[in-house]
Amino acid sequence: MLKQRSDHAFSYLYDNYSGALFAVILNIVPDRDLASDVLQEVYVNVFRKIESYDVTKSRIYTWMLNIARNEAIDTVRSKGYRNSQQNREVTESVYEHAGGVTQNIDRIGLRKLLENIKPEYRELIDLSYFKGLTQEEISKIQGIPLGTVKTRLRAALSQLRGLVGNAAVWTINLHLLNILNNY
Amino acid sequence: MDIQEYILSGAIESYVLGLASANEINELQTLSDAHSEVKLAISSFEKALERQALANAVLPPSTLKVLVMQALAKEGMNITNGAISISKSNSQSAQTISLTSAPKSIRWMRGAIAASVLLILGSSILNFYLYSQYKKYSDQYADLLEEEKSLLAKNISLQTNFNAIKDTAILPVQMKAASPLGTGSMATVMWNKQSTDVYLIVNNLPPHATDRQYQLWAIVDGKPVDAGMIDISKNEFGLIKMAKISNAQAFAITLEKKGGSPTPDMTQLFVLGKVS
Repeated sequence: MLKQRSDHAFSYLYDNYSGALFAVILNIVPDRDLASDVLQEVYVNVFRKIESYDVTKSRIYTWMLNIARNEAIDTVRSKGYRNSQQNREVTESVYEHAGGVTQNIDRIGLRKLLENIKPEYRELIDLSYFKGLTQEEISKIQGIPLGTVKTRLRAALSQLRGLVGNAAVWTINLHLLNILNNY
Repeated sequence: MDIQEYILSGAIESYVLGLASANEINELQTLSDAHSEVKLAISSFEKALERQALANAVLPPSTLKVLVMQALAKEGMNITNGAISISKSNSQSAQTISLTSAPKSIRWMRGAIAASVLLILGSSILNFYLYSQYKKYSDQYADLLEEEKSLLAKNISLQTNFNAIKDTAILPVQMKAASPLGTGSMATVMWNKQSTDVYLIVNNLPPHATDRQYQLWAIVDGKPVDAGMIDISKNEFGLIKMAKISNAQAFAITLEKKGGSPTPDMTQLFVLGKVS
Protein backbone atom coordinates (compact mmCIF):
# COMPACT_ATOMS: atom_id res chain seq x y z
CA MET A 1 0.00 0.00 0.00
CA LEU A 2 1.15 3.46 -0.82
CA LYS A 3 0.11 4.95 2.48
CA GLN A 4 2.00 2.22 4.24
CA ARG A 5 5.04 3.44 2.33
CA SER A 6 5.83 0.00 1.01
CA ASP A 7 8.69 -0.33 -1.42
CA HIS A 8 6.59 -2.49 -3.73
CA ALA A 9 4.06 0.28 -4.10
CA PHE A 10 6.63 2.95 -4.83
CA SER A 11 8.53 0.66 -7.13
CA TYR A 12 5.31 0.23 -9.09
CA LEU A 13 4.78 3.98 -9.14
CA TYR A 14 8.22 4.42 -10.58
CA ASP A 15 7.98 1.64 -13.16
CA ASN A 16 4.59 2.72 -14.38
CA TYR A 17 4.76 6.49 -14.35
CA SER A 18 8.37 7.64 -14.36
CA GLY A 19 8.43 7.73 -18.16
CA ALA A 20 5.26 9.78 -18.41
CA LEU A 21 6.47 12.23 -15.76
CA PHE A 22 9.93 12.44 -17.30
CA ALA A 23 8.40 13.51 -20.61
CA VAL A 24 6.45 16.27 -18.88
CA ILE A 25 9.50 17.47 -16.97
CA LEU A 26 11.53 17.54 -20.18
CA ASN A 27 8.98 19.90 -21.70
CA ILE A 28 9.87 22.39 -18.97
CA VAL A 29 13.48 21.49 -18.20
CA PRO A 30 15.02 20.34 -21.49
CA ASP A 31 18.39 19.32 -20.05
CA ARG A 32 18.18 15.56 -19.44
CA ASP A 33 20.57 15.43 -16.50
CA LEU A 34 18.76 18.19 -14.72
CA ALA A 35 15.42 16.65 -15.62
CA SER A 36 16.58 13.38 -14.04
CA ASP A 37 17.39 15.24 -10.84
CA VAL A 38 13.95 16.83 -10.93
CA LEU A 39 12.33 13.43 -11.47
CA GLN A 40 14.10 12.07 -8.42
CA GLU A 41 13.01 15.06 -6.38
CA VAL A 42 9.44 14.50 -7.60
CA TYR A 43 9.37 10.94 -6.32
CA VAL A 44 10.78 12.07 -2.99
CA ASN A 45 8.04 14.70 -2.78
CA VAL A 46 5.42 12.17 -3.74
CA PHE A 47 6.67 9.96 -0.94
CA ARG A 48 6.69 12.76 1.61
CA LYS A 49 3.20 13.93 0.66
CA ILE A 50 1.58 10.54 0.21
CA GLU A 51 -0.50 10.94 3.36
CA SER A 52 -2.23 13.93 1.81
CA TYR A 53 -3.18 12.12 -1.39
CA ASP A 54 -6.94 11.75 -1.56
CA VAL A 55 -8.10 9.03 -3.94
CA THR A 56 -11.58 10.55 -4.16
CA LYS A 57 -10.19 13.85 -5.44
CA SER A 58 -7.98 12.63 -8.28
CA ARG A 59 -6.16 9.75 -9.88
CA ILE A 60 -2.68 9.07 -8.58
CA TYR A 61 -1.13 10.02 -11.90
CA THR A 62 -2.87 13.40 -12.03
CA TRP A 63 -1.72 14.11 -8.48
CA MET A 64 1.88 13.19 -9.29
CA LEU A 65 1.72 15.14 -12.53
CA ASN A 66 0.94 18.26 -10.57
CA ILE A 67 3.86 17.70 -8.21
CA ALA A 68 6.15 17.08 -11.19
CA ARG A 69 5.05 20.20 -13.04
CA ASN A 70 5.48 22.40 -9.99
CA GLU A 71 8.88 20.93 -9.19
CA ALA A 72 10.05 21.50 -12.76
CA ILE A 73 8.78 25.08 -12.79
CA ASP A 74 10.46 25.80 -9.46
CA THR A 75 13.70 24.45 -10.86
CA VAL A 76 13.46 26.70 -13.90
CA ARG A 77 12.77 29.72 -11.71
CA SER A 78 15.64 29.01 -9.35
CA LYS A 79 18.63 31.35 -9.37
CA GLY A 80 21.09 28.59 -10.25
CA TYR A 81 19.12 27.63 -13.32
CA ARG A 82 18.64 31.18 -14.52
CA ASN A 83 22.34 31.85 -14.37
CA SER A 84 23.17 28.86 -16.48
CA GLN A 85 20.42 29.52 -19.00
CA GLN A 86 21.08 33.18 -19.69
CA ASN A 87 22.52 32.65 -23.11
CA ARG A 88 20.16 29.91 -24.20
CA GLU A 89 16.68 31.32 -23.65
CA VAL A 90 14.14 30.09 -26.19
CA THR A 91 11.59 32.72 -27.07
CA GLU A 92 7.90 32.28 -27.77
CA SER A 93 8.49 33.39 -31.38
CA VAL A 94 9.29 29.74 -31.94
CA TYR A 95 5.53 29.14 -32.16
CA GLU A 96 5.16 31.67 -34.92
CA HIS A 97 7.15 29.40 -37.20
CA ALA A 98 5.04 26.35 -36.48
CA GLY A 99 4.95 25.15 -40.07
CA GLY A 100 8.39 25.64 -41.51
CA VAL A 101 11.51 26.08 -39.41
CA THR A 102 13.12 23.07 -37.71
CA GLN A 103 13.05 23.28 -33.94
CA ASN A 104 15.72 22.23 -31.52
CA ILE A 105 13.13 21.42 -28.90
CA ASP A 106 11.77 17.89 -28.77
CA ARG A 107 8.03 18.18 -29.13
CA ILE A 108 6.76 15.67 -26.65
CA GLY A 109 3.29 14.79 -25.58
CA LEU A 110 1.18 17.69 -24.43
CA ARG A 111 3.48 20.27 -25.96
CA LYS A 112 3.12 18.54 -29.32
CA LEU A 113 -0.66 18.53 -29.06
CA LEU A 114 -0.51 22.28 -28.54
CA GLU A 115 0.52 22.68 -32.16
CA ASN A 116 -3.08 21.94 -33.03
CA ILE A 117 -4.51 24.83 -31.03
CA LYS A 118 -4.90 28.48 -31.99
CA PRO A 119 -1.72 30.52 -31.35
CA GLU A 120 -3.35 32.81 -28.75
CA TYR A 121 -4.64 29.81 -26.82
CA ARG A 122 -1.35 28.00 -27.18
CA GLU A 123 0.53 30.88 -25.65
CA LEU A 124 -1.85 31.05 -22.71
CA ILE A 125 -1.47 27.36 -21.94
CA ASP A 126 2.29 27.64 -22.31
CA LEU A 127 2.53 30.58 -19.90
CA SER A 128 0.15 29.04 -17.44
CA TYR A 129 0.96 25.35 -17.59
CA PHE A 130 4.59 25.12 -18.62
CA LYS A 131 5.86 28.39 -17.15
CA GLY A 132 3.64 28.36 -14.06
CA LEU A 133 2.54 31.97 -14.28
CA THR A 134 -0.59 32.86 -12.34
CA GLN A 135 -3.52 34.42 -14.14
CA GLU A 136 -2.67 37.76 -12.49
CA GLU A 137 0.87 37.62 -13.83
CA ILE A 138 -0.37 36.74 -17.31
CA SER A 139 -2.90 39.55 -17.16
CA LYS A 140 -0.09 42.03 -16.39
CA ILE A 141 2.27 40.71 -19.05
CA GLN A 142 -0.32 40.65 -21.81
CA GLY A 143 -2.13 43.76 -20.67
CA ILE A 144 -5.48 42.00 -20.67
CA PRO A 145 -8.08 42.17 -17.89
CA LEU A 146 -7.93 39.27 -15.43
CA GLY A 147 -11.47 38.15 -16.29
CA THR A 148 -10.53 37.86 -19.97
CA VAL A 149 -7.44 35.79 -19.14
CA LYS A 150 -9.59 33.47 -17.12
CA THR A 151 -12.21 32.98 -19.82
CA ARG A 152 -9.63 32.53 -22.57
CA LEU A 153 -7.61 30.07 -20.57
CA ARG A 154 -10.73 28.06 -19.91
CA ALA A 155 -11.60 28.08 -23.61
CA ALA A 156 -8.05 27.04 -24.48
CA LEU A 157 -8.15 24.17 -22.01
CA SER A 158 -11.53 22.94 -23.21
CA GLN A 159 -9.97 22.58 -26.67
CA LEU A 160 -7.37 20.33 -25.12
CA ARG A 161 -10.02 17.83 -24.11
CA GLY A 162 -10.80 16.86 -27.68
CA LEU A 163 -7.13 16.55 -28.58
CA VAL A 164 -6.08 14.52 -25.60
CA GLY A 165 -8.99 12.20 -26.48
CA ASN A 166 -7.44 10.27 -29.29
CA ALA A 167 -8.66 11.48 -32.64
CA ALA A 168 -5.16 11.97 -34.08
CA VAL A 169 -3.77 8.66 -32.86
CA TRP A 170 -6.69 6.64 -34.28
CA THR A 171 -6.46 8.20 -37.73
CA ILE A 172 -2.76 7.45 -38.10
CA ASN A 173 -3.17 3.82 -37.00
CA LEU A 174 -6.05 3.18 -39.37
CA HIS A 175 -4.24 4.73 -42.34
CA LEU A 176 -1.18 2.58 -41.77
CA LEU A 177 -3.27 -0.57 -41.57
CA ASN A 178 -5.04 0.30 -44.81
CA ILE A 179 -1.85 1.00 -46.71
CA LEU A 180 -0.10 -2.22 -45.80
CA ASN A 181 -3.13 -4.46 -46.12
CA ASN A 182 -3.62 -3.39 -49.70
CA TYR A 183 0.00 -4.02 -50.53
CA MET B 1 -26.03 26.73 -13.44
CA ASP B 2 -26.07 24.80 -16.66
CA ILE B 3 -24.07 21.67 -15.99
CA GLN B 4 -23.42 20.93 -19.65
CA GLU B 5 -22.02 24.43 -20.11
CA TYR B 6 -19.80 23.97 -17.09
CA ILE B 7 -18.47 20.69 -18.45
CA LEU B 8 -17.66 22.32 -21.79
CA SER B 9 -16.17 25.44 -20.24
CA GLY B 10 -12.65 24.16 -19.61
CA ALA B 11 -13.07 24.36 -15.84
CA ILE B 12 -12.55 20.63 -15.51
CA GLU B 13 -9.40 20.60 -17.65
CA SER B 14 -8.12 23.53 -15.63
CA TYR B 15 -8.68 21.62 -12.39
CA VAL B 16 -7.14 18.37 -13.57
CA LEU B 17 -4.09 20.18 -14.93
CA GLY B 18 -3.59 21.93 -11.59
CA LEU B 19 -4.38 25.42 -12.86
CA ALA B 20 -7.53 26.10 -10.87
CA SER B 21 -7.67 28.67 -8.06
CA ALA B 22 -8.86 27.68 -4.57
CA ASN B 23 -12.33 29.04 -5.35
CA GLU B 24 -12.52 27.18 -8.61
CA ILE B 25 -11.44 23.97 -6.87
CA ASN B 26 -14.17 24.37 -4.26
CA GLU B 27 -16.77 25.07 -6.92
CA LEU B 28 -15.75 22.05 -8.89
CA GLN B 29 -15.71 19.70 -5.94
CA THR B 30 -19.16 20.83 -4.86
CA LEU B 31 -20.53 20.35 -8.37
CA SER B 32 -18.81 17.01 -8.70
CA ASP B 33 -20.38 15.72 -5.49
CA ALA B 34 -23.80 16.87 -6.64
CA HIS B 35 -23.64 15.90 -10.31
CA SER B 36 -22.30 12.59 -11.48
CA GLU B 37 -21.85 13.90 -15.06
CA VAL B 38 -19.26 16.30 -13.70
CA LYS B 39 -17.56 13.52 -11.79
CA LEU B 40 -17.59 11.40 -14.93
CA ALA B 41 -16.19 14.22 -17.06
CA ILE B 42 -13.36 14.72 -14.57
CA SER B 43 -12.41 11.07 -14.46
CA SER B 44 -12.62 10.65 -18.22
CA PHE B 45 -10.31 13.61 -18.84
CA GLU B 46 -7.93 12.30 -16.22
CA LYS B 47 -7.87 8.90 -17.88
CA ALA B 48 -7.35 10.35 -21.35
CA LEU B 49 -4.54 12.56 -20.06
CA GLU B 50 -2.93 9.61 -18.38
CA ARG B 51 -3.15 7.40 -21.47
CA GLN B 52 -1.73 10.12 -23.65
CA ALA B 53 1.10 10.71 -21.17
CA LEU B 54 1.93 7.02 -20.98
CA ALA B 55 1.91 6.77 -24.77
CA ASN B 56 4.37 9.65 -24.94
CA ALA B 57 6.56 8.48 -22.10
CA VAL B 58 10.29 9.11 -22.33
CA LEU B 59 12.45 6.59 -20.51
CA PRO B 60 14.60 8.18 -17.84
CA PRO B 61 18.21 6.93 -17.49
CA SER B 62 18.19 3.29 -16.41
CA THR B 63 20.42 4.05 -13.45
CA LEU B 64 17.91 6.45 -11.97
CA LYS B 65 15.53 3.95 -10.37
CA VAL B 66 18.13 2.69 -7.93
CA LEU B 67 18.95 6.24 -6.90
CA VAL B 68 15.28 7.05 -6.39
CA MET B 69 14.61 3.91 -4.33
CA GLN B 70 17.66 4.64 -2.19
CA ALA B 71 16.49 8.19 -1.63
CA LEU B 72 13.04 6.93 -0.62
CA ALA B 73 14.54 4.37 1.72
CA LYS B 74 16.39 7.23 3.41
CA GLU B 75 13.07 9.00 3.79
CA GLY B 76 11.70 5.99 5.63
CA MET B 77 10.19 3.73 2.98
CA ASN B 78 9.29 0.27 4.27
CA ILE B 79 10.48 -2.95 2.77
CA THR B 80 7.44 -5.18 2.90
CA ASN B 81 6.25 -8.48 1.48
CA GLY B 82 2.69 -7.40 0.93
CA ALA B 83 0.94 -7.23 -2.42
CA ILE B 84 0.83 -3.91 -4.22
CA SER B 85 -2.47 -2.23 -4.63
CA ILE B 86 -2.98 1.27 -5.95
CA SER B 87 -6.51 2.39 -5.32
CA LYS B 88 -8.11 4.02 -8.32
CA SER B 89 -10.65 6.76 -8.25
CA ASN B 90 -14.27 5.71 -8.06
CA SER B 91 -16.15 5.21 -11.27
CA GLN B 92 -19.34 7.01 -12.09
CA SER B 93 -22.63 6.31 -10.32
CA ALA B 94 -26.03 6.25 -11.96
CA GLN B 95 -28.04 9.43 -11.97
CA THR B 96 -30.83 9.85 -9.48
CA ILE B 97 -33.90 11.86 -10.16
CA SER B 98 -35.73 13.69 -7.42
CA LEU B 99 -39.47 13.41 -7.08
CA THR B 100 -41.76 16.36 -6.79
CA SER B 101 -42.66 17.31 -3.23
CA ALA B 102 -46.06 16.41 -1.71
CA PRO B 103 -48.98 18.84 -2.30
CA LYS B 104 -50.09 21.28 0.36
CA SER B 105 -53.82 21.42 -0.31
CA ILE B 106 -55.94 18.38 0.57
CA ARG B 107 -58.22 19.13 -2.36
CA TRP B 108 -55.47 18.16 -4.77
CA MET B 109 -54.44 15.14 -2.75
CA ARG B 110 -55.92 12.51 -5.09
CA GLY B 111 -54.65 14.06 -8.23
CA ALA B 112 -51.34 14.72 -6.61
CA ILE B 113 -50.98 11.14 -5.42
CA ALA B 114 -51.78 9.86 -8.88
CA ALA B 115 -49.24 12.28 -10.36
CA SER B 116 -46.64 11.17 -7.82
CA VAL B 117 -47.19 7.53 -8.61
CA LEU B 118 -46.86 8.25 -12.31
CA LEU B 119 -43.73 10.23 -11.63
CA ILE B 120 -42.20 7.43 -9.58
CA LEU B 121 -43.01 5.02 -12.36
CA GLY B 122 -41.55 7.33 -14.95
CA SER B 123 -38.49 7.94 -12.87
CA SER B 124 -37.86 4.22 -12.33
CA ILE B 125 -38.15 3.63 -16.04
CA LEU B 126 -35.77 6.48 -16.66
CA ASN B 127 -33.36 5.02 -14.11
CA PHE B 128 -33.42 1.64 -15.82
CA TYR B 129 -32.94 3.28 -19.16
CA LEU B 130 -30.08 5.48 -17.95
CA TYR B 131 -28.45 2.56 -16.24
CA SER B 132 -28.67 0.42 -19.34
CA GLN B 133 -27.24 3.31 -21.37
CA TYR B 134 -24.44 3.67 -18.89
CA LYS B 135 -23.78 -0.05 -19.01
CA LYS B 136 -23.84 0.00 -22.79
CA TYR B 137 -21.38 2.88 -23.04
CA SER B 138 -19.28 1.45 -20.28
CA ASP B 139 -19.02 -1.84 -22.18
CA GLN B 140 -18.37 -0.06 -25.45
CA TYR B 141 -15.68 1.97 -23.79
CA ALA B 142 -14.04 -1.17 -22.45
CA ASP B 143 -14.23 -2.71 -25.92
CA LEU B 144 -12.74 0.42 -27.45
CA LEU B 145 -9.87 0.31 -24.99
CA GLU B 146 -9.19 -3.31 -25.93
CA GLU B 147 -9.39 -2.48 -29.58
CA GLU B 148 -7.07 0.46 -29.09
CA LYS B 149 -4.58 -1.80 -27.34
CA SER B 150 -4.62 -4.25 -30.19
CA LEU B 151 -4.40 -1.47 -32.78
CA LEU B 152 -1.41 0.00 -31.00
CA ALA B 153 0.24 -3.42 -31.01
CA LYS B 154 -0.50 -3.79 -34.70
CA ASN B 155 0.86 -0.33 -35.28
CA ILE B 156 4.13 -1.35 -33.70
CA SER B 157 4.26 -4.46 -35.93
CA LEU B 158 3.57 -2.37 -39.00
CA GLN B 159 6.27 0.12 -38.12
CA THR B 160 8.78 -2.66 -37.46
CA ASN B 161 7.97 -4.34 -40.76
CA PHE B 162 8.13 -1.12 -42.67
CA ASN B 163 11.46 -0.21 -41.13
CA ALA B 164 12.79 -3.63 -42.08
CA ILE B 165 11.95 -3.22 -45.74
CA LYS B 166 12.92 0.40 -46.17
CA ASP B 167 16.41 -0.26 -44.93
CA THR B 168 18.97 1.01 -47.44
CA ALA B 169 20.57 -2.43 -47.63
CA ILE B 170 17.35 -3.94 -48.98
CA LEU B 171 17.36 -5.25 -52.53
CA PRO B 172 13.89 -5.88 -53.97
CA VAL B 173 13.49 -8.90 -56.24
CA GLN B 174 10.23 -8.99 -58.18
CA MET B 175 9.00 -12.48 -58.92
CA LYS B 176 6.62 -12.62 -61.87
CA ALA B 177 4.67 -15.48 -63.45
CA ALA B 178 7.03 -18.16 -64.77
CA SER B 179 4.49 -20.68 -66.03
CA PRO B 180 0.87 -20.94 -67.13
CA LEU B 181 0.08 -21.92 -63.52
CA GLY B 182 1.50 -18.66 -62.35
CA THR B 183 -0.45 -16.39 -64.70
CA GLY B 184 -1.39 -13.24 -62.86
CA SER B 185 0.67 -14.19 -59.82
CA MET B 186 3.30 -11.99 -58.25
CA ALA B 187 5.45 -11.94 -55.18
CA THR B 188 8.35 -9.76 -54.09
CA VAL B 189 11.38 -10.65 -52.05
CA MET B 190 12.88 -7.82 -49.99
CA TRP B 191 16.38 -9.08 -49.43
CA ASN B 192 18.72 -7.43 -46.96
CA LYS B 193 22.07 -8.57 -48.36
CA GLN B 194 23.96 -7.20 -45.38
CA SER B 195 21.99 -8.99 -42.69
CA THR B 196 20.90 -11.82 -45.06
CA ASP B 197 17.31 -11.39 -43.84
CA VAL B 198 14.67 -12.22 -46.41
CA TYR B 199 11.19 -10.73 -46.28
CA LEU B 200 8.45 -11.85 -48.62
CA ILE B 201 5.55 -9.76 -49.87
CA VAL B 202 2.82 -11.92 -51.38
CA ASN B 203 1.36 -9.54 -53.94
CA ASN B 204 -0.85 -12.17 -55.52
CA LEU B 205 -0.80 -15.95 -55.19
CA PRO B 206 -3.91 -18.01 -55.77
CA PRO B 207 -5.41 -20.01 -52.89
CA HIS B 208 -4.52 -23.66 -52.69
CA ALA B 209 -5.79 -26.92 -51.14
CA THR B 210 -5.17 -27.47 -47.45
CA ASP B 211 -2.71 -30.30 -48.00
CA ARG B 212 -0.43 -28.09 -50.08
CA GLN B 213 1.79 -25.15 -49.30
CA TYR B 214 3.83 -22.57 -51.19
CA GLN B 215 7.58 -22.78 -50.75
CA LEU B 216 10.18 -20.11 -51.44
CA TRP B 217 13.45 -21.08 -53.11
CA ALA B 218 16.69 -19.20 -53.53
CA ILE B 219 18.58 -20.19 -56.66
CA VAL B 220 22.24 -20.37 -55.64
CA ASP B 221 24.77 -21.18 -58.39
CA GLY B 222 22.13 -22.92 -60.41
CA LYS B 223 20.81 -25.02 -57.51
CA PRO B 224 17.57 -24.38 -55.63
CA VAL B 225 17.95 -23.80 -51.87
CA ASP B 226 14.97 -23.96 -49.54
CA ALA B 227 14.16 -20.47 -48.21
CA GLY B 228 11.14 -21.40 -46.12
CA MET B 229 7.49 -22.29 -46.28
CA ILE B 230 4.99 -19.55 -46.98
CA ASP B 231 2.22 -19.51 -44.44
CA ILE B 232 -0.60 -17.50 -46.03
CA SER B 233 -2.24 -17.07 -42.62
CA LYS B 234 0.85 -15.22 -41.35
CA ASN B 235 0.43 -12.67 -44.09
CA GLU B 236 -1.57 -10.21 -42.01
CA PHE B 237 0.63 -7.22 -42.41
CA GLY B 238 1.67 -7.97 -45.94
CA LEU B 239 5.13 -9.21 -44.97
CA ILE B 240 6.42 -12.69 -44.11
CA LYS B 241 9.86 -13.33 -42.72
CA MET B 242 11.62 -16.17 -44.52
CA ALA B 243 14.88 -18.03 -44.03
CA LYS B 244 18.16 -16.13 -44.17
CA ILE B 245 19.93 -16.26 -47.51
CA SER B 246 23.46 -14.99 -47.97
CA ASN B 247 23.83 -15.62 -51.67
CA ALA B 248 21.41 -16.07 -54.56
CA GLN B 249 20.98 -15.25 -58.21
CA ALA B 250 17.21 -15.66 -58.27
CA PHE B 251 14.18 -16.48 -56.16
CA ALA B 252 11.20 -18.66 -57.03
CA ILE B 253 7.99 -20.03 -55.50
CA THR B 254 6.56 -23.49 -56.11
CA LEU B 255 3.50 -25.20 -54.68
CA GLU B 256 4.58 -28.25 -52.71
CA LYS B 257 2.84 -30.63 -50.34
CA LYS B 258 2.21 -29.21 -46.89
CA GLY B 259 5.45 -28.97 -44.91
CA GLY B 260 7.54 -28.62 -48.05
CA SER B 261 10.00 -30.66 -50.00
CA PRO B 262 13.82 -30.76 -50.14
CA THR B 263 13.78 -30.13 -53.88
CA PRO B 264 11.28 -28.10 -55.86
CA ASP B 265 8.62 -29.61 -58.08
CA MET B 266 9.28 -27.56 -61.20
CA THR B 267 5.90 -28.50 -62.67
CA GLN B 268 4.43 -26.45 -59.84
CA LEU B 269 6.48 -23.33 -60.43
CA PHE B 270 4.45 -20.17 -60.03
CA VAL B 271 6.74 -17.16 -59.97
CA LEU B 272 10.41 -16.45 -60.55
CA GLY B 273 12.53 -13.37 -60.23
CA LYS B 274 16.16 -12.74 -61.00
CA VAL B 275 18.35 -10.78 -58.64
CA SER B 276 19.46 -7.63 -60.43
